[in-house]
Amino acid sequence: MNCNQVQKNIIGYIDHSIPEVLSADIEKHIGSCQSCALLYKNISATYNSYGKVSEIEVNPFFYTRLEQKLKNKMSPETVVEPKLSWRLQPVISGVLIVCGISLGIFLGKNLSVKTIAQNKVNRTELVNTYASEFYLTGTSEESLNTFYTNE
Amino acid sequence: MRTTDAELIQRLINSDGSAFRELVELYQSLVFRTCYNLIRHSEDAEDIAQDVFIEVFESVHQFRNESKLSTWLYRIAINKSLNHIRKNKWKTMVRSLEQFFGGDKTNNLDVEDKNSHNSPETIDYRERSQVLQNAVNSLPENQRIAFTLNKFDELSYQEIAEVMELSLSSVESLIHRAKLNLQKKLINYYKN
Ligand SMILES: [Zn+2]
Repeated sequence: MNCNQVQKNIIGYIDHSIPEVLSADIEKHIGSCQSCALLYKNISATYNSYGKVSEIEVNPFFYTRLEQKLKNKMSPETVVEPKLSWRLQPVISGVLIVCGISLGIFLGKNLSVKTIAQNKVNRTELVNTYASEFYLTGTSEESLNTFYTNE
Repeated sequence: MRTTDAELIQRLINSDGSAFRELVELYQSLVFRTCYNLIRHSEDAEDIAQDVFIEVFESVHQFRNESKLSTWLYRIAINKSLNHIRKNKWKTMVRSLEQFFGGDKTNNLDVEDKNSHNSPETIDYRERSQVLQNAVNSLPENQRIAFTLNKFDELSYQEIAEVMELSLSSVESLIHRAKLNLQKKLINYYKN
């Protein structure tokens, strides 16, 4: 019996599902091999660690709660547990309001800047158009002066 | 099927008011523990166990008298628990992570401190349960059901075969493979 053989049969050794001869050999090896003894201790304690947990008691109000759950299920008008979408409604509304306000602020800012900028451009273009029409821009004034002095 | 079960079912079908309460009181422990042994969370297990009884209440007419009432309850409890696990994979992952980060370092599979890691004194019972739970959770579904029913619900191979609607040899094979897989996982965990 070597360490590898012990490891291959360790669960069988723990839950007594291997032949007695094999079990006796493993026991002998574990008695003289520290590393296998430690491995056996750990695996055995872990493998059997569920036992105590499964002794967990059933809630004393199990039936009362079940009865209530069943009653709620049977009578559709009594809705104790509202649907997720209903429960989320105030949150969704809040988020929508915040989004709406943010969008409003964002659009308001951008549009007003754009409009002012656009208006400025438009006004400058308009003034230039009028000015050139009535010879009031620098270039037109110059050409007017040139025209008169040349005359 | 025992006479008492047959009577109970008949009374339920006849809408006998006290029959449902009797059925629950008789089987709540079996149903709750079956759910708990698969889910490993008492509140969720209680919730699922209640759903099991609600299904029994609603579909009692469909109950086939050829199987035992407990076999039927095990089947519903297993199906509901597995559905719950499938639907709440993220929740289970979060819980494992919580235990992983909130718990002792020894629960960390990659922990470097091999002395404390390998010392049984420093690893408490809860952590060992977590290690075993992680190993059991990683088993293929059928192996997991058969192994859980055998080891934790203490059902015989024959009973498991009835619950899972498999042959006795299939159950033997499932449990054997489950144990080999667990052995491999636990050796890897404690040797590294
Ligand atoms: Zn050894």
